[in-house]
Amino acid sequence: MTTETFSAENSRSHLHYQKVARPEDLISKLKIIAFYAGVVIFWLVVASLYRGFGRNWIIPAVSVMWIAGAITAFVARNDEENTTRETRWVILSFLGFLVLYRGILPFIVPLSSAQMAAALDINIPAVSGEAIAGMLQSVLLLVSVLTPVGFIIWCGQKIRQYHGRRTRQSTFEKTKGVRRGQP
Amino acid sequence: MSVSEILQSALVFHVNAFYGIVFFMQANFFLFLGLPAAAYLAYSEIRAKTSLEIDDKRRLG
Repeated sequence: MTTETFSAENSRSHLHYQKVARPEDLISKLKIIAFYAGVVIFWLVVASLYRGFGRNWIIPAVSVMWIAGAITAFVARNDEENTTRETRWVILSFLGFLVLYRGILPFIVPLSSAQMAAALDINIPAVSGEAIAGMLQSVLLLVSVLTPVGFIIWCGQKIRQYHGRRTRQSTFEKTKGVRRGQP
Repeated sequence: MSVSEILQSALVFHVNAFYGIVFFMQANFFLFLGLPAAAYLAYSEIRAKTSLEIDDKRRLG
């Protein structure tokens, strides 16, 4: 346990500020680092599950999401903690969906319309069996493209909002300066 | 084996190593872009979390 002591002199008394590094603080920091390391490893595992698609699309898309989140956290400092937390949860959810999809896909694709109709005791046209493969492909493409795009738009909107707030603040400061005779 | 031959073989090894590193970086370009961003986010979250904690003890002496 380390102890840092800061002291400041006052006209009446001496003030001592003592900052103690507790073991709980260290554990909470390690937890955050472990969580991020876990997400990065998960990212690589998911990319390897998708082979060519993972290498050519999942790695660049998630990388762009990390970068967008980092830039937003750096620029919009007032909401730094929320931005970092939301970035890691969005990335984790995106990767989670991809793993789930990869796991479920082999069970769904071989199922024919006749098997489904027999299992559910309903009438299913044979054409819908062919359509389902195309629909699954479209779902994967839509989710894997729209999630990073949506996240980047969200980051851009957050930065824009932050700059809008700053402009309003500077306008107020200028107005106060004019009132005080300091343009 | 002469000195020039030793230097030449060492140069070949180093050129190969250089190309190996360059191709590795090229193949994993986006991964190397994303990793520092993830590290910055982790650092940023730790900093934001610790700045919110008030654990300073003030003592009047």
